[in-house]
Amino acid sequence: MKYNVKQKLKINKKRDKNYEKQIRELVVARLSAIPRNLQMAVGAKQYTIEELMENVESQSSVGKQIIAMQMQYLKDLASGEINRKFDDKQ
Amino acid sequence: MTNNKVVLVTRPDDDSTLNFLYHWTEDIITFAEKRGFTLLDLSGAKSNKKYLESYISKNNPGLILFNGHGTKDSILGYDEETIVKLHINDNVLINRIVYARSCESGKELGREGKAKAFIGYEWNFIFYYNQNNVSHPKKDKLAKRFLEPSNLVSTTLLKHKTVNEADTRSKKLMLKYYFEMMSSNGTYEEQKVASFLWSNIAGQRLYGNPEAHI
Repeated sequence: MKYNVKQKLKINKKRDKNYEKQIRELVVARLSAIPRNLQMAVGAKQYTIEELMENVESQSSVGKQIIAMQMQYLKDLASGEINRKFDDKQ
Repeated sequence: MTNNKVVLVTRPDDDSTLNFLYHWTEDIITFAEKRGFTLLDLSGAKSNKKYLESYISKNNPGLILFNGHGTKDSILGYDEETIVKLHINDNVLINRIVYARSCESGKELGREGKAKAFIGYEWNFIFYYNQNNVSHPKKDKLAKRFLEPSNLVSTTLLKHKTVNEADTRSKKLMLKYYFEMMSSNGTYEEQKVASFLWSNIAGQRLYGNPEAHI
């Protein structure tokens, strides 16, 4: 089946949206494992774990930063960057 | 020439995040005083632009340790007053070594500012703590994992080491804590938030002359 440019863009946009949704779900799942007696100080505010999860789901400014930080962490973990840094510092 | 025996510290305390930084900075102040430095402590409401500019102008400190909220081009003081802003009054940083424990200020103020050397954060500086310890910040073992390595930047600089050594030693301690937290010896809480310590490691940046020291 052949698609024209407009249809291709539409398909890509849908794929990107699905990808972003999956990433949000991943980060929310990671946050949900944190004990609820903890709070996070980030930026000019303090957040409970529920508030952090809400911010990620609503893609607020803090939510976007949490997503970026967690994705960077997972990439660095998967690529071996964290272990490399550890070896460098020994 | 700056006076390398004078250290200026800002530490506003008007919310619980700042209260943690306020109390954790006490160790640095004690350390500096024991080593014979003249300590200019802009604590609480004194962390404002007027005091900062006046103290710098009169005492010419070689080292400035900022604690507070921040943006990519500024550092805030008490009641979120902007006390240093790029292209507005960043000349107060000229020829000085700066450590800014504040979110994002490394991004533009550190990179483009006028400090001799600047250690700061490209991202938000993050720490976790137990809600039950809000009134006892120094007792919080989880916060210690995040704040002790950042204190090490200051204490290393106060030992007349280079900013490069201060940055490296701090990152090394963060990595040590990260692996301890992730190990089977780490508590459940530590294991779940260790990834955020990595954000501080990845976000901490050094600008200016890496060989600078007081």
